[in-house]
Amino acid sequence: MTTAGRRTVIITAGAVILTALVVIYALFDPGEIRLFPRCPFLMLTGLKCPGCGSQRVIHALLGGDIATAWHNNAVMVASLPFIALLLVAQTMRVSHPRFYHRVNSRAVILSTFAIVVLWWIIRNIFDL
Amino acid sequence: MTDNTQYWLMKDGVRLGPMTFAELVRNVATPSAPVWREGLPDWCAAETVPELAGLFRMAPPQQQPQYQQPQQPYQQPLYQQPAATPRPVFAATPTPGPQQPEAPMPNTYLVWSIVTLVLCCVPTGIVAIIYSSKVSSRWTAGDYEGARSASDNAALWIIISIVCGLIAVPFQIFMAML
Repeated sequence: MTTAGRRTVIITAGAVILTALVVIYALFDPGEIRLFPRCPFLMLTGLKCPGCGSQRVIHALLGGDIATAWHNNAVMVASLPFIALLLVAQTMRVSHPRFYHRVNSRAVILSTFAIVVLWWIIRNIFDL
Repeated sequence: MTDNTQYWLMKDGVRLGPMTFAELVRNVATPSAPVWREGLPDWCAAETVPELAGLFRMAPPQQQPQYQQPQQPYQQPLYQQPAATPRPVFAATPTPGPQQPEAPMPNTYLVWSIVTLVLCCVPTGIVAIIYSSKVSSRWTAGDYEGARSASDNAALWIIISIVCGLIAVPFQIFMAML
């Protein structure tokens, strides 16, 4: 298969999976329906991981309910603009290498890592 | 390619460039040497770059390259010698400054590291994000080979995280139904 053909297949498959996930998470509430996967870290330790609540956040945001999303995982909601920026930089890595380098600097990556770990600790202490 | 296309070359772990096509031809030693220019999706082995493909089937041309006056202020004085000077020493600047036109840094995969760390909930995501930061710090320090290998490692650990996450999903659903 040519590179272009493979690219088309990957993009099409990605779009189909993404659409299916959006429909599933928009229609069904992971907080109510038990068939959605549960966090293994939470089940094993009883402690929340940094991503706990993500499925409920996605469901709430798809329904436009920002308050509920914030309640379920505040840091995840707050970091969505940053994740969008990273995705934009990712697509512009070759055409705008300096922009990519700035967004992916060591300081930014280590700060991100520190925030994730701090959120991990704080949300378990204060039950957020 | 036009005459003033700028090329970058990875040689012995050091990034050389920007250079003209003639300089590139003189500096490319092996068919697998990574080369980048505007228009390539990423660093490519020299033999896969169309305008270089013929190079490895014949001896490199011996004529003196015509040196262009560089436009970038950061380049070393040796590089700015007039066209008649034979064989100028050609070295890369080890510390890329913010003003220079840069060849693209290897992929840090930072966004995917974060997504897998948070959504897959697997400790291997932490390893991935540490490799992501190494890509950036090594690239800034001039260790271009190290940055490329850190980039590969970040991708590897992201894939491991995703596979672990996917394997866990049926068990998670099963446990949730109990």
